[in-house]
Amino acid sequence: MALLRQAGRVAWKDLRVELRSKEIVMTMVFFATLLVVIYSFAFPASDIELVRGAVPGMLWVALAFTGTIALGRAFDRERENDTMRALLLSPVPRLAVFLGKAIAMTALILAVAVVCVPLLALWLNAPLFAHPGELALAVVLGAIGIAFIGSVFAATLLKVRSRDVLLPVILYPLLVPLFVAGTKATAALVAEPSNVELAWFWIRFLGIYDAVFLVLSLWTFESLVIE
Amino acid sequence: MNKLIVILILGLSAVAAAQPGSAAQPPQPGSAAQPAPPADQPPPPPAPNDARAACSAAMNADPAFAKSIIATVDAKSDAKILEMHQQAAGQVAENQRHVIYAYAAMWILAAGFVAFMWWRQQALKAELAQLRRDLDAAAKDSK
Amino acid sequence: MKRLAVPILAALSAITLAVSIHYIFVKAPIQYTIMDGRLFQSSLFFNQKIFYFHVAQAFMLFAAVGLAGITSAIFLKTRNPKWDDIAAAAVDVAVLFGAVVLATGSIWAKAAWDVWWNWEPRLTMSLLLWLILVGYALVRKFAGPSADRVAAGMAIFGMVGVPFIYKMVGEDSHPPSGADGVVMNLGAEYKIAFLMSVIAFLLWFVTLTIMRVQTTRAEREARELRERGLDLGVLQ
Repeated sequence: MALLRQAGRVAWKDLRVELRSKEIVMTMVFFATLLVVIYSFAFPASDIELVRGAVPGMLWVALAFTGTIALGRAFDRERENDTMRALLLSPVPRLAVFLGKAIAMTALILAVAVVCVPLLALWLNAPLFAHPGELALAVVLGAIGIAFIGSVFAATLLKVRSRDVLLPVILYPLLVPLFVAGTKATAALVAEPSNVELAWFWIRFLGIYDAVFLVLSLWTFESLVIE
Repeated sequence: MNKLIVILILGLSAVAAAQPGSAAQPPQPGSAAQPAPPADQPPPPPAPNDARAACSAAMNADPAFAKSIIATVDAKSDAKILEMHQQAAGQVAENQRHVIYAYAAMWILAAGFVAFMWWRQQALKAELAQLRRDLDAAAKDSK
Repeated sequence: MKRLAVPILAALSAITLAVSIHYIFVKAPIQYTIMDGRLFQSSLFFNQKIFYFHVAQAFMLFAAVGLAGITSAIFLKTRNPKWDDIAAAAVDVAVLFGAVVLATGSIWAKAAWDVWWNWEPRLTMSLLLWLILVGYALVRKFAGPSADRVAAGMAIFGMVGVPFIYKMVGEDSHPPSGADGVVMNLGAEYKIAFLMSVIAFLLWFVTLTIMRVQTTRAEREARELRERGLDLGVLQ
């Protein structure tokens, strides 16, 4: 319980820094908006069948891209003033530091999704709100997965010079199951007729994936991030 | 390759030849393999077994006739099986190419890997020797 | 003994490989079936000869990935670079086996399905696994001094992700694998050939890994000597 409280403190600290500067959120949301604009040029909104087929990919590609940007920037911020060391030296378990950072990351990625989904529905006429509950669940689970696995590697790469290129190189192959499951769940929800049962299969898949990698992240974080 | 096909052909034609013979044998009465007819059905006419027995008896009476029948059947099934095997041989010849490609690809990749490793090992050996020499020389100088 | 390990293992794998080739091309009959008077649809003919090596090396690919993941976990716990060397070597060997599996599988697909690549689940899975391995190699090369930790993390996460990839892709036109798959239902004469090739490639895998470990050790040694030289001011 104390661990969760400490993790919450770290997460709140990160979010408060973010709320003051709004640097990551604003750039992420802007980038996601641009992506949606480019998508609308690539896929005409008038062709509803085409949009139904393409919109799951659009959503999850947007989450993947913005997620990597946010991860890189959030951990760069800690590096710039060497505050990561201060955080790690502070009298809280490292697990709490990691949990806090990952929770803050999840919130940031979800902020992008909150903007991205309505935009896709508005500009591309995508039926994303046919099953809002299931879609929200899939997106939340996806954001958790990206944030936790991403935080492990972003923190590990903190001292590496070419971290900006290496983060996607490491993250995307490892996250492919998550992206595929998310895309398939979304596709099942926006299809006509929608297949909620299939969507639930992929949501459960995401849940198990998150659970396994959450445990693995917690277990490896301490030995991976050594200052 | 051809030998194998010939063996297969011989084996299969032997099986084909053996089948009419075994089918001609009347089944043993009261054998366990023969399911008893259900009681409520009228007993089947005794004709098939008796007729078959009579038929084969008649055929066996004239050995030349029996032989000619077997020869005809054999020739027919042989021709059919031969044709199929020729078709199969054609397929085999056609996809031999793919097997050669696959094995070539495999060995080229493996050879490339080993060659690269050998080259790397040689380069490292030279570098290590050079480094050791330099360090030893430096140690001597400082003494 | 250590000096002799590689030549002995290489010779052993060469012998078993020769035996397995004998079994594959001479002993095992060409796989095709005649049913109901016509050629059975799933007859593989001579193509089936690809299977022995393709599947055996796919097994070795998984073995190499497992070895890399486990040694990486041990490395993170003990911080002994010896384990890291083994993990790095295992991944390099896995990249080779992955490339071979993809190449032979693709050629087999051309022969059996008449396409080189069709995004069939099993192909997708091998490709994804191979991409993780190549990413690992990139990390090793470009991550600088802390490459060992980053790479170890990637190996562990990658190994744990394999079952998910497996589950994700599901079943399709690829010949089935697993408990009731092709391998388990082989006829006796095919099974011997297949077992021989698995043994041959297991030996080949061990040989390559040991060779590669020697190279990674030499690399580490060179790096350490260079650092010492820099410290002493001998080298620039």
